[in-house]
Amino acid sequence: MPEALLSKKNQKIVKDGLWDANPITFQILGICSALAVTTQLKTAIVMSLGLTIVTSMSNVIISLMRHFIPSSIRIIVQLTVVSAVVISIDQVLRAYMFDVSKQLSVFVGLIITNCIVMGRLEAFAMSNPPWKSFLDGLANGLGYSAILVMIGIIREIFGAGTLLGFHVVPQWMYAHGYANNGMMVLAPGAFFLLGIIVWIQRAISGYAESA
Amino acid sequence: MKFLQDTLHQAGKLFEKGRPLEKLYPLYEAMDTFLFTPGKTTPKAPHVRDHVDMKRVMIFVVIALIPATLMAVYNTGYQILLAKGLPIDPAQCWKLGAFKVLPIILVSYMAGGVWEVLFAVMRKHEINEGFLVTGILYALTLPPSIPLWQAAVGISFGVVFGKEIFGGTGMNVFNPALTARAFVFFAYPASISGSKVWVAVDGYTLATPLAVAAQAPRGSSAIEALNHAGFTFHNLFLGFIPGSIGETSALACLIGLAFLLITRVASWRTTLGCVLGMLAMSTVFYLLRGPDRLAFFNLPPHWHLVMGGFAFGAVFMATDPVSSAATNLGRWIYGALVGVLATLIRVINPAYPEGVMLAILFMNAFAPLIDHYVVEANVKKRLTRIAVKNV
Amino acid sequence: MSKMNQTTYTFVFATIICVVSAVLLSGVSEGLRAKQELNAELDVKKNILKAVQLAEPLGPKMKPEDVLKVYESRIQEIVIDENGNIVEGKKPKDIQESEKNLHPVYIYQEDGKVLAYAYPIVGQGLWSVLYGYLAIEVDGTTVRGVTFYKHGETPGLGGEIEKEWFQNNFKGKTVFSVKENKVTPIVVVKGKAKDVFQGEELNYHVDGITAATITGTGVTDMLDKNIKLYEPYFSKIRKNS
Repeated sequence: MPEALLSKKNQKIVKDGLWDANPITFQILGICSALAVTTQLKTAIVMSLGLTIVTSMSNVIISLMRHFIPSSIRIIVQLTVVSAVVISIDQVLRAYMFDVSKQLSVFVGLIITNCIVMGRLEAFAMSNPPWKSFLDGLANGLGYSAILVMIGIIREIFGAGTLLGFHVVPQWMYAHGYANNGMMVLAPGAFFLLGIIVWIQRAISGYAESA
Repeated sequence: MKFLQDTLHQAGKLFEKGRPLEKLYPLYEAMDTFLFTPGKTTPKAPHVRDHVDMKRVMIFVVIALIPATLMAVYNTGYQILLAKGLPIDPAQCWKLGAFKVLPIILVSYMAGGVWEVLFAVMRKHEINEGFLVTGILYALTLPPSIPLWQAAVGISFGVVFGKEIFGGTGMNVFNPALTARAFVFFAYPASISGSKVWVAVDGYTLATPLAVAAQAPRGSSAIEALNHAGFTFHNLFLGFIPGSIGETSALACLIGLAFLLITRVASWRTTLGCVLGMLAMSTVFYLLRGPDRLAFFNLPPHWHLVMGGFAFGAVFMATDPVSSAATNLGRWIYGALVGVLATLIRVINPAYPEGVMLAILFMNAFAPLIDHYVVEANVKKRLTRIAVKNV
Repeated sequence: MSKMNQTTYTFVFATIICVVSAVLLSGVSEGLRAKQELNAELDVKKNILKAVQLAEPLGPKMKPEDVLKVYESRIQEIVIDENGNIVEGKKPKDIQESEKNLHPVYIYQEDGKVLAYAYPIVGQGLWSVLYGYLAIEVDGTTVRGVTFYKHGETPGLGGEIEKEWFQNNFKGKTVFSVKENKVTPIVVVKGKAKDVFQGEELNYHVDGITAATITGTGVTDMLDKNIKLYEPYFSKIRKNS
């Protein structure tokens, strides 16, 4: 019996990626880029889109090939697929969003080494059909995106007083002695924010690491 | 006295389990034990029989800080008068200084206190007097011109990230007061570095001795540059110089140190370690001095001890019993490395005129590791002794 | 699969994967190359146009083709050697990595009249290498504008060099003192320039950034190096004008 597109099981796949097994807050993967590209919301969004596309696409591709991939070279094959997708995206960004790609610099290329992507391929796509793999990749990508966007918003507002480049902190606040928080622009600022988000998420979900 | 105690205990009943103010028990408990020796004894081992408990220890540190605080108030006022070119009148110094310094201390206590109480209530633990120390230590390390809201943001960060996330007082890896200052340092660098912030007069520019020595041209004499700017060893030692509120006077810190050592709150090993580390490192620089070297190299080692926040850091920050090393040998190593690192950052890194804060925080991270190896080494030594006996 | 030997299969599979992804990637790369090169070129040209302070500044939403058109009609690219002589037939993009003695100059003209000369400046700041362009008026001594377009300095401190207020400080300063007949590279002062210097000296000192002394020193050094590098060329311009 064919399974419904959004059956209970499939819903769980999505929920896992977004919340219960969120790649950043639960698995603590992809931290490097989460710290590096979130000084502005714009770069955070582009990076999120990039990663979401890469995880879902490569999940589908690997899932389609999963019966043919010789297990002895499966990691290399996964890496090749991921690299091809990532490099294509990087090229497109360079052609159509030059400013953003300049700011993202090497981090788009580094999606290749992002543990989330390889992790999903190895843990999910290798043993699941394409549609499920797509959902899994999408959910994990979006889970990653949600955190990045959150951090990006907070960092841009408090670090630069802008959001997507528009001034949101009113001028009179600066006139009365308000100052942008330099910590937010530095990587440690993102690190602390990430810590707080992990803290809150785990407090709500009641998850505790077993010793 | 008896009356006060009875009233308090009467009121205290309101805070017991099942009563209306149950959630605020930590507040009551703090008040009660702060004023009176607690009626309870520790339920589990170890029991140490001493009149001094945790609260008294912390109070001793606060007492030790009194000279530095008084000096802070006086010097802040003194610098203002000096900057404005007004005649120096002691009464005026006290008044102006108090107006600047007391709000900072108050804000530090209030903002930090709110978080302290919040966590105590949420996590159902007692409010710890450690905060009495953190609050004032932090305030004394800020420049007098710091905007109060930034001071409040800083201490909030220090209390939450420096202490509470590790599980509260006693569990913290880093010194909360320094964590708070480091936050302000990186978040609002314009308020805590440069030459405009050290005197609480708007737009008045005056470099600290550290900045003067760091920016003297290569090969020139650092002492000459300092003397030219009006800084002599004498007034650096006494502390009538611009700088962070409570850090300017090495003398005030020494008085505090004497008190801490008499009451045995601080470890003399840590402080002495810091001093030796700094002297050793600055001697190395002194020997390497030359015409194309930074002027800071040729500053005689003993000058380093009276500059910047070193005396304050070595006496009050590095000796923090929670975040420093806990073994005796460990304290030597820890202290010495603080001194070495502080000198390195101070002299070599042009971006950070003062290195004491960063050095102490850095070594805080290593203190448990140092202790681990000291204990391991000791275990090994004793094992060999047993082995010998068995043969 | 069972027919084929396992090892052979692995090799065949790997080969197919390689070929497919190689073809795909070269397709993407070829298809987008023109567009990418245009972007990189545009980035450089925009910064040059910003440094020379166009009579009509570029609009923020200007189309790439229009920017290029403005550039082409206003900017003439030349290459000079270490003696300030123009190297005929060479364009800035022809300069090889090894030709350390050749330097690009971008001449800004409006209706055939030369208005400014711009050249790239590079130097070490506190944490990072600073990149920018410096534009000199047609008299060969006065600064028309400066840009810093790439750096990794602390935001809010050294990072202020990318802000208008800092870059505007340089406008109208001079890099050559006619009176004393010597090069006067612009110096970034600690604090306000006019508190420290008066008269002639004020012409080549600019306000510094509070609490960013080292970045300021970096800018000073980089200007010193680059201004002296281009001095032979500008001394000729001064002689001719």
